Amino acid sequence: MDLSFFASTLCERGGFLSFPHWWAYLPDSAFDNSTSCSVTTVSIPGDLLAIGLAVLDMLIFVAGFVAVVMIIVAGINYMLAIGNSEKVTSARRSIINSIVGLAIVMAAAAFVSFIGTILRNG
Amino acid sequence: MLQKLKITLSLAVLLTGIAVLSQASALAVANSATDPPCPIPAGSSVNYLHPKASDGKYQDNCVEQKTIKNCGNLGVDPSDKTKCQTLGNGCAGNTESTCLAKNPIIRDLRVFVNALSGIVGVVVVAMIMVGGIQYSSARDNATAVSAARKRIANAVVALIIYFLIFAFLQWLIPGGVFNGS
Repeated sequence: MDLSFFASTLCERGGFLSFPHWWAYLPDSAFDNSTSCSVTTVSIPGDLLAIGLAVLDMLIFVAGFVAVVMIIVAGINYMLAIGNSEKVTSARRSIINSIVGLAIVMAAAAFVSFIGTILRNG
Repeated sequence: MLQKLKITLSLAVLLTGIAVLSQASALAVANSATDPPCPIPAGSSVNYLHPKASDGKYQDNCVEQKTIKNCGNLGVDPSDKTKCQTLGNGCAGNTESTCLAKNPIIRDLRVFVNALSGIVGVVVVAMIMVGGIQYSSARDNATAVSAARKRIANAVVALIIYFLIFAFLQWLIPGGVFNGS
């Protein structure tokens, strides 16, 4: 395994709300030296895949935030339903939907890493 | 977005198909020589190579090691000297008119398809993730859920259509594009 691919983790990871940076998966050669984080050379289309992976990483974070917020909102609605069975069903369904959406995102991410592992080993 | 992706994909298929068709018609088909019975009949216009046995002698009383002459510009297969080189990607040390791997169109096609694979993979997964986020934020709204589902299904369909490009190109080009290195 080529560990130099992960050398960019030397840079400070995580910015706003611990979102990954777009340069998080760029190879070592993109930075002017291995300890600094100034990206000097980005080759298109060679590095497009690494940038795309970072974007996917951001989307996973977005999905996590959305699911958590939606579950909290639905939980509050559940509490405020006060025996109203329609509101209870609606709140329950929105909780289920947010969990299903998060599961879809996680399955897509797992599928990508699965394919990536196959491509790297085979 | 997905509509655009699909249109771009079908355009790519069309363009590569046209480029490859015009090239494929120019490529010659290999004329394969069959081994004559040994010993080689006198006055044969073609000299055949027979592989050496383990004791250092040539098999079947074939006295001389000679190469096949009637392979034309295709040359002799370096791995099996009894055969003419086949048109394909495994050929080495040949010109671009006889070796698909050295053909500039095929080479650029490979680079193009490889770059396109990365972009399509990322975009399709991003679309599935966006669909998942849409699903999460749909609350109990049935139409929003079905919209998210439709987005995910469209992304999967686009991925399957893209996979068909490989089969299509492999079928279209004599010798194939994606076999060998």
